[in-house]
Amino acid sequence: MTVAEPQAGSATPQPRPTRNRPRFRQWGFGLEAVLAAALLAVSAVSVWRLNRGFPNVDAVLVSDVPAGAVLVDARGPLAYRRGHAPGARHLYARNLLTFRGAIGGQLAPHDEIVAALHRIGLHPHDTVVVYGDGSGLDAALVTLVLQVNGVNARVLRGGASSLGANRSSDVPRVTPSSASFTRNARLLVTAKDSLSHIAENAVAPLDVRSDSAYEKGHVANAVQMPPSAFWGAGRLPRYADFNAMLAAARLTGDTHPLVYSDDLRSAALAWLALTAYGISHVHVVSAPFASLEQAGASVTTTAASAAVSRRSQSLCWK
Amino acid sequence: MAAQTIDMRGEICPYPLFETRKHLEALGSGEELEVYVDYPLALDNITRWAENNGHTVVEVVEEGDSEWRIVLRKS
Amino acid sequence: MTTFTLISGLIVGLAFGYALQRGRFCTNTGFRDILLSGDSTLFRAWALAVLVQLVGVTLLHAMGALPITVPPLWLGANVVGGLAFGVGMVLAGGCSSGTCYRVGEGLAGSLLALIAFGLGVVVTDHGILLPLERGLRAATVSDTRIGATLPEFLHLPTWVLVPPLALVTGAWLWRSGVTRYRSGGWPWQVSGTALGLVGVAGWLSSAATGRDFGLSMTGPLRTWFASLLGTPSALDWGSLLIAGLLAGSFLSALIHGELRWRVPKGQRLLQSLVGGSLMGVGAQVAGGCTIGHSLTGLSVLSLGSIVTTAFILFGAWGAGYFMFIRPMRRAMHGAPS
Repeated sequence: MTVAEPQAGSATPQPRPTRNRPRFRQWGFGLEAVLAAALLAVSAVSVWRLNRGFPNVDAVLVSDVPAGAVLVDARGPLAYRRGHAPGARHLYARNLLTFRGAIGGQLAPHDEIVAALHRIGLHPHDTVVVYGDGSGLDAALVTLVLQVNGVNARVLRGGASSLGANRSSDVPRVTPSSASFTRNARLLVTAKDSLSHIAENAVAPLDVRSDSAYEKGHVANAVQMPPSAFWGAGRLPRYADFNAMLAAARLTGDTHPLVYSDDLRSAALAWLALTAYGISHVHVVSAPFASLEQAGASVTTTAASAAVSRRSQSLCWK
Repeated sequence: MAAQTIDMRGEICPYPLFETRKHLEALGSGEELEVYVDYPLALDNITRWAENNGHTVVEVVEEGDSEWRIVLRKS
Repeated sequence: MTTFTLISGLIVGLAFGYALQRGRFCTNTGFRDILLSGDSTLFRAWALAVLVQLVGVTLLHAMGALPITVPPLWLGANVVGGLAFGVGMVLAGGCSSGTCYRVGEGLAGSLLALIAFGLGVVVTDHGILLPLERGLRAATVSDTRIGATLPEFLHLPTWVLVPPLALVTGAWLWRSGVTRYRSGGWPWQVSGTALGLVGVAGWLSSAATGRDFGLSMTGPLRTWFASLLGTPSALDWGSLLIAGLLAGSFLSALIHGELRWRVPKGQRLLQSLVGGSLMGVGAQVAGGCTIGHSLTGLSVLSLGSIVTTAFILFGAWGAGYFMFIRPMRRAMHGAPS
């Protein structure tokens, strides 16, 4: 704080205008207009993105049954007998699994699966709509296995309740088929093949189990996303949420996820959502995590740095 | 003709206004206070407060990039 | 982090920072100056911003175009955190957004306050002050999905409550006199509207990246500081908002000739440090700051935000009284005539 000499001889001038920067004014107006336009554009794009569905959803999900499609009921025998859509054939998801040893079961041998497909009279290139109880688990697994064998199968949104009230208890008469099915070995891979994929660094392991199972031990570098991330209340998650979770897990673009779980049905759900999202190279391990461990996968307890959690949303109360 | 000059450059909010008020209250009626500020909000605050309280803003001179010399006269 | 997140976060941040700097928008000054000098200019800017966002977000949500989350009500945490934040911001000379945009203008004191803020948030979030946060938040009253909102509390539907609120606030704002802005900044009507619109755009673009909230500083600053201090989190929309904010205010100051490196005396630097830390701790405990609660949270009529804002106000007034009003009265009594 300084004390200055009073200045002599100055009359009291009028208050003078303070700002005189014409050259900057123009820049200012320009930037303001650009920012306003950009903000408007961002808002418009956001509204569009908030309302969009999954880009590739038609490859795996349908809302109505197309004419000429074969209906397949993926639910258990009790539910099927109690009442299924008229003409729907029964292919119980659990019948596609064997439970020798592993908890969640692994995929049954190819011949057994083909026999099951023959029994309900399916051929490759048939158009099939699979429905379950709405939880997505059974329907996703059946659809996955059908697609692996070359059948154009898709899941019906909402499960059995989307089919109207007409119910039948009669098993439809079907001529068994004898078509030959070739299995797509890229989509559904054995534990051994998974290891070579991992060794070649060609895949991004994705662990679809609970948090506690993941913490106890997971494949090295595997990112964890719980089954609820892929499906809830009979439908796919919101596109923006799913997008954010995949971005946090670094699973966008050209990455090839290798999905494994304890329950092949959860892995199938993950496959469903990832394919609907537009990731074209999804591999599903046909055996549970324990088999991967047994086959020699390197297992760790350190969480992968790209952890999917709500914390990555920068919200102060989570 | 400023009876007092205070340099509030570098001060954080709200000390420019606070010190200005303190020193202006201590002056006699008609005396002038010269305040140096280097923050636009301080310029707004001080001049607005002065005008709202009956004092006169004699002049505001831009001394440099974001630097002002305000002269207030107490009512 | 996707391309859309990157671009939208930065653009909203740039617009936010630019508008803050042009409008000299600081809730601290707005709240405190009502007591200190009777000047309600910035308070009106803030009220207008809240009003615009309230109307915008309510409409968009009612149309089903915008998913929202409501900050929860934690009575203990909201009160204590709000008070701490209010005191802290008066000490530091700026609220959270004020501090950030002033960093862009070149104020060293605000830079120190920002660093202290970030550290305060991190220490409370997963450091030694975590028990404090947990204890105060133990009185959680609401579920974060739905939250406790004013309409729910009053058992009134939103569409009944919002229009009268908006009209009353609008009428009060309309009756304001002319204000002079010698520094050439935006009048409060412009800055309030601009910030309200930026807030709405923030809600939309953030929701489109999966983060169902609007503008906020505490969470994003936690992400930045936690990442810098060794617990990396994925950079998301909120993180880019902060980066854009700093850049936007910097650009605005540069263009308008208000960019200048200003360093206060030692005592003020210490004050900024202490104030910033208090702000950080208070904001993390309460679950938000003057942006997260007092701007964004109020736009969804969150009870937690209402309580926190009220206590930020009380804290600021309390600190303002003891730091400025009382010394001034004493000085006036003892002043030579």
